[in-house]
Amino acid sequence: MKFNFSVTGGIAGLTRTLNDDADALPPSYAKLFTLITKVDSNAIKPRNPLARDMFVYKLSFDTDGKHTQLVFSDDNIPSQFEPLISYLRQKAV
Amino acid sequence: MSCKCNIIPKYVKDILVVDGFLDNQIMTGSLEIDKFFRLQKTQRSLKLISGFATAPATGTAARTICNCKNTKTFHKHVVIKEGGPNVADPDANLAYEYAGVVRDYYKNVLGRNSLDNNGLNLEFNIHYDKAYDNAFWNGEVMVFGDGDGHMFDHFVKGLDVIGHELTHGVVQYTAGLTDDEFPGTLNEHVADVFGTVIKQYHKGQNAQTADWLIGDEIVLPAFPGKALRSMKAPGTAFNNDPQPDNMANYKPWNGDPHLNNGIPNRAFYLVAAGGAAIHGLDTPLAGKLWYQALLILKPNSNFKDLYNAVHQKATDMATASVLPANAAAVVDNAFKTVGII
Repeated sequence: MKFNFSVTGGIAGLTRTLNDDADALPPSYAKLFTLITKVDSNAIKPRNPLARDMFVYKLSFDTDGKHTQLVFSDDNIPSQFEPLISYLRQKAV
Repeated sequence: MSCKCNIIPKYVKDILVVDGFLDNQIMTGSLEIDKFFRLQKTQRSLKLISGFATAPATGTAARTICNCKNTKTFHKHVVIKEGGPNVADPDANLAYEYAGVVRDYYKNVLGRNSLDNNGLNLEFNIHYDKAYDNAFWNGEVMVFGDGDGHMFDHFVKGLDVIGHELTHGVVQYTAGLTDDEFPGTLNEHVADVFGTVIKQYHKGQNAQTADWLIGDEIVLPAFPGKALRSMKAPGTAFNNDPQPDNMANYKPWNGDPHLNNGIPNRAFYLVAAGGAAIHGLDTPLAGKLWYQALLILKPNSNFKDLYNAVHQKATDMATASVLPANAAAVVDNAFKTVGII
């Protein structure tokens, strides 16, 4: 499954992106990717409105003809997906 | 969704104002006071409501340095407490030292007792996550990553970065600028202002000798530039730096409050350093002026509101002989140059 990932914000205000295929991820991350595609975007808890300079992570993919974009901040990534988001962040350029 | 309820009875507000407890900008009307309390929702606020005769300190502005050990866990591993000795980790020692520089600047120069003007203790969490190219304020504590080692160094190495993040705390407890387009941009502007003011203060620099760069101490050779931002020449800090330096080149809002803060940043630079035909106030006085202006900004203030606040305070402070008699003219020149007025 193709996906687009971006990191924006932070004190630097820079944008980094990664366009890749989930099948090309290391197995443990590919497994997490499969799980994250099942996340209900409406169930993601709101970020803390008082926080400043956190990163904003956007993960986009298509499943069964439906386009989905999940948006996280550093303080509301579901804990089970933190390793995946951290891995993608470090791969983004 | 915002709460429209009025949670504080008028008599409590009156007592708080009479006691001189609240910052100036929330003394100006009930809406701002309500906003302040809705946003904070802290134990301190609850104590005030229930026992409003005095204003108990939230702390002693004590520093605590915690090591996240390259995880995303806060608070857990305390490595230095206030008054404690240096440790083997140089980042911990530097975070402790720089936190003290920022705290003492606010206390000794601006008369502000920590972020909340009430002694709030300062917690720094260092070594956050792995190869994390960032530092942030989470609404309660500061968090610093170690960088990727190629483009970015450890973020605690930048005094201006630490000043920037702690100032987000000050803004939270004063103007309470929201993260919408213009107030969010002003929030980042004020954070940059005090980041650089404190760096110059610590290094003994002035407006003419300073480099006016933000984040120059945390970028490494692989970074395509010299810093994250330039307040003197926005748009020149790195290759393809998108920051405009004038309202004529204002960039459409993309959700990033750092994008357009080069415009008010350059106004501050011009007030401090002056222009072709006018002497500036120099950085120390410009910093004092901006702090007084911050105290009368509102959560939804825009660039024009910033000008009005700075102009008003320049006039007041010149009348009180704190600033030169031409201070308001210096302000007008700067804000005209960047196209805000």
